Amino acid sequence: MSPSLPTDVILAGVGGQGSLFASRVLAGAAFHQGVSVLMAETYGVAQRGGAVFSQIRLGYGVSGPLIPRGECRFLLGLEPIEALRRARDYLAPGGSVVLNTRIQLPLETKMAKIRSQPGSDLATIRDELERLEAGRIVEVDALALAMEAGGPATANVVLLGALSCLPGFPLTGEAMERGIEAAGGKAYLERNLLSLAKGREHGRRLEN
Amino acid sequence: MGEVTQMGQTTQELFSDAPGARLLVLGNEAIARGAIEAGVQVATGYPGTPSTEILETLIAAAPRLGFDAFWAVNEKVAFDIATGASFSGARSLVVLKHVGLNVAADSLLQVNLIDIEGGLVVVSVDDPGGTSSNNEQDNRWYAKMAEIPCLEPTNLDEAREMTRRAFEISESLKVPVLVRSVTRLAHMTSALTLGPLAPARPKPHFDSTRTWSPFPPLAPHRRLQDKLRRAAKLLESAGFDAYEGTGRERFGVAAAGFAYNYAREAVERLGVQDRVALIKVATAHPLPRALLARFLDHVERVLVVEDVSSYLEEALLAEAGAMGKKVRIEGRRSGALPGTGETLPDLVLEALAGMVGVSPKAKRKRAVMAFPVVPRRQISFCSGCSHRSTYYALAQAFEGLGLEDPIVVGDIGCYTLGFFPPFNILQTMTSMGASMGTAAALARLNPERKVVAVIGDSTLYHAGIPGLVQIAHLRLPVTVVVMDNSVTGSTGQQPHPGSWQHGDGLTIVPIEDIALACGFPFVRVVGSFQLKRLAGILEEALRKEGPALVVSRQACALEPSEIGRRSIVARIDEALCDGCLACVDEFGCPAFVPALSGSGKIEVDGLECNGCAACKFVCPEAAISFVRRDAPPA
Repeated sequence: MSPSLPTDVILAGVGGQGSLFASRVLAGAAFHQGVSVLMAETYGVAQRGGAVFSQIRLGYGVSGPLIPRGECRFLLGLEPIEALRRARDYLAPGGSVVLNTRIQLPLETKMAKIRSQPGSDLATIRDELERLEAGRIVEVDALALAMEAGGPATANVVLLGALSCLPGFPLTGEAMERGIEAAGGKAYLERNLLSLAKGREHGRRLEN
Repeated sequence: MGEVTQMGQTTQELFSDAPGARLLVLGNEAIARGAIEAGVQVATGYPGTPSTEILETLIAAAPRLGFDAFWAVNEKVAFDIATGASFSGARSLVVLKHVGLNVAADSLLQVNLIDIEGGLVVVSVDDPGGTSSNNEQDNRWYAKMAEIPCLEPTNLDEAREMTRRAFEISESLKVPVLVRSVTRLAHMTSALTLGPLAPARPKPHFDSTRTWSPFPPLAPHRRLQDKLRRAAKLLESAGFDAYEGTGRERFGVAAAGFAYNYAREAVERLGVQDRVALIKVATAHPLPRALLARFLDHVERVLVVEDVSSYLEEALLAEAGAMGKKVRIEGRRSGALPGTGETLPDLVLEALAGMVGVSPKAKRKRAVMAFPVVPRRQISFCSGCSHRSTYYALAQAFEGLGLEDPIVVGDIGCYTLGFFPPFNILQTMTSMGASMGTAAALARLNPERKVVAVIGDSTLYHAGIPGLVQIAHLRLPVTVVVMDNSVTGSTGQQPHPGSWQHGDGLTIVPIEDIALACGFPFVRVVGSFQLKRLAGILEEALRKEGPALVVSRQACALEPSEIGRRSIVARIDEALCDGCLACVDEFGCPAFVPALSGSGKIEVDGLECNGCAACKFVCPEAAISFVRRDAPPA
């Protein structure tokens, strides 16, 4: 697709998963590729074990960073419950979802009184995403692939790799690599690049 | 990576004299760049989401560019520092969040009357919707009340340019200038084009041949009003405001500051450019009256799009009334847009569609979910957070003393999460430092109950000390628990006067010394992770008839010195765990997760556990032990 058409991307996760880093990689990749980018993030106390939510608008024709409801074509779920929360409000019919399979239960769900709350297991979340008319749902055991790349911290980058090979996704793999370099974390650069490659490999395998 | 500092690679470029260069940065960084381009000499403020990264960026730039930038104890002190700098001819900047201006307002409403010397700019970042705040508050009203100019940027380039120009305007009119930003701009990332750096400023000099005071105030007030008239002329030619129309449209949209983006998007998405005149009002005070008059002259119906309050809507109503024009003006005040909460694109689109009588683009039918409620995710303490241990120990102390109805007064900081599960222990929270005075009254009026005031270290320095003096002076039976994590934690670990780990070359002001100097007869300092000892000392404090103060001290788990420091990890013995969930229900560490086997027992998520070992005694079956971590937790 032409990069001049706007494409909206949402990242949904839990504070501490590195979703801010992931969203910065995406923004940096777009910047490198010459695609106009506006990004809105949740910051500060809102991220402490809470829901983290980044909105990224790629391409011209937008002036505000907030995505209209029901129009998001790409959703990266760093955590499945958070993916469902944002899909409910923002996913366009037919929109693609990259889904990390590792659930992090909210504290209240874990607490004895209400731990039987529905909607907090992977099968239910998958069903719900289908009811929301999601197009592709790409499940990724991001932790396992990150461990192969050297440690758990780069699960976020594995997921970016899977996202970046979805059909119609406007940013190239090369741009994603530049985005990683620009987002910092020099000590982990090699591991991040390897994690990106593992995510892309996983994504491509599913496409074939 | 989990943790990435705000200071990315681009930061170095952000400080350089490279006009025309384009960088991908945060809105807050764009404001910092504007101050750098203006040649700011003294930058200060107090941390507060969503404003924090502005001063963080300037503190990083300061040593390289040779200016002064540091965190102040509170916003009033910050404003007073900026005032002193301005009196010395230096360009000075105060950075605060909306509620911070309440703290600095006493000084602002006096300094506005003085002919200042160096440009003095206040950047206030308002938090529409109160996503990281106790309230939503529109600080444009402060500009109106203080009769000073106020600019509202709508994107990063304007954020940079308006901040830079604000210094020039302030200096030429000798009056403070307010720049009002909002959360969305502060934390928006997009491309910024750099401008040139200002030439070196003259060396600061304080002129003691004149006086620097607003008293007696009438002549200064007259001069201030004259300055504001000159500001109106200056700002009219600045080109910050815009009129997009032909002069024939019946419909109009008036948009203020950042909300202009949603107004423009709505007009374009509905394709009604030829039927709707759009004005951008970036000069919040004094409002561009000629532009408003030109707009009101031809429109019959107006939608006003602005964040937090109906500031512009009310001004337009007044202006139309003064012009004798009959115009229907709608917005937050009329109910055409919600009176509370952030301005959102969908709301603006719908309101505009309703006004011009077109239907918004085919809205997606809301899909039906089997479980329409997605489990709520309340924010909670990090693993390894000292506040969790302190609240746990406090609950233990209450239990130990058999107190059924203690009163626990809270304050502002991460420890505010004590309102939520699993502790549900706090009963009040208002403004910074308010726990002290509130507890004083509660102790007086409820003599049969124990009163505890919980306050963080940074909040105590900020506005708690006067109340601490009050409690000591009146000998009130309040147990003050200082939750001391050695930094301003909730905004990202900024240093304060008690931050020993950041204090190279500075005097550290220990909280226990302050309490002793105030005359507190019982003062103790305990490590937060020593749960049993902490609970015992809290019991002892609660038994006192007079004031008592306990410092629960342990560095914030997110402090760089704490991250990855611990070589152990908790483990739950599956044979001993009986699934009682005490570790989840009473302690609530995120590292405790339901066992993957589905046995109903609990296990430790080794990636989440930070090895603080505070949970050692929370299991009634003593199933928690600690083992060496195999690999570093990276």
